[in-house]
Amino acid sequence: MDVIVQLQRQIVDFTASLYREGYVDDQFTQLQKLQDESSPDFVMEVASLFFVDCEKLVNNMARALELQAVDFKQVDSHVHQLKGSSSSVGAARIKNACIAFRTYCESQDREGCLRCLQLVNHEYAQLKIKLQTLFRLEQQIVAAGGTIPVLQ
Amino acid sequence: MSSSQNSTVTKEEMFDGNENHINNGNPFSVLVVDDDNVVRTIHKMMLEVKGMEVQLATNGKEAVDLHRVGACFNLILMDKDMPVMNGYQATKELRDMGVNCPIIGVTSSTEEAELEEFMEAGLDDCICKPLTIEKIACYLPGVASTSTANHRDDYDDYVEVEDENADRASSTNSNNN
Repeated sequence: MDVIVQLQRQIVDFTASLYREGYVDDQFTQLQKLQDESSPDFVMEVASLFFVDCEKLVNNMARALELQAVDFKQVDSHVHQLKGSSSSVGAARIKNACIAFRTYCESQDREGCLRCLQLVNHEYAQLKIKLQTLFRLEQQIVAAGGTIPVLQ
Repeated sequence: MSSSQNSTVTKEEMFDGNENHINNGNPFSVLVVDDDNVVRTIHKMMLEVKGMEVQLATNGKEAVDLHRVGACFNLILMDKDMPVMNGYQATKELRDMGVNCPIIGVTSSTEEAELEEFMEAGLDDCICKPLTIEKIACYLPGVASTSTANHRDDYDDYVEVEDENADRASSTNSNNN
């Protein structure tokens, strides 16, 4: 029982840090509320879909920016899509990075776009590590027979 | 941004005053039109936990084709930017076909002009992502609206983050040098 309590405390603290450091916002809470006994892995499944999409879009952006004649509309379209999906999962820092990215696409600033791409990539990598840690903790609690606490 | 002038179904006709949907006993059906798999998955779950029956379409053409073969929905959530046929074109076609259920635009766009243009296609309302049940509560049976937030407040949040992004971008850049 001590192990479960300890794990639950760890999850609460870790989740709180995700919000405090701006990695996720209230939309992530909305996703967690959708998770229940009938769909116990909903958040993990959505996160996995998001990471696959994110990688694909980042690769598309990188390829588009490598070209001699950059099609900024195309780059913007990829950023726009990533902004939509990141806001829907509550990935706040990625969403915010996309907002800045779009202004550089509008002004057709290749260097600015490359800096933003670097930032998006960085934020994606960080979020992936954080959420994988969270899901691992949740799995440990369930394996130990405990329940996953929900941060209010 | 709301203009319930395009659907010909009034709220009184949709609900019987006790928030019970008048639909010949059939569940309230929603068509979610979005090219993003992540967004479709989330929106589907949000609606299903509230008891709605959800069908998905990956672009505007799929949405139009569904109606051409006789499908009928109580509500359509329409993304704006999609390949093959975008939300504007799909909404126009659906209205031209005589589809009169509420159609709500759901977009990541925050440009006033873009949202107004999207509305002109025949939308009843247009909201910014992320979608929450509160934002569309008035279109769903048995879902009380608890939010007093203006949908357009989302835009103000976007304006504020631009400065934070500029700082973070230059900070990451200098850390990597």
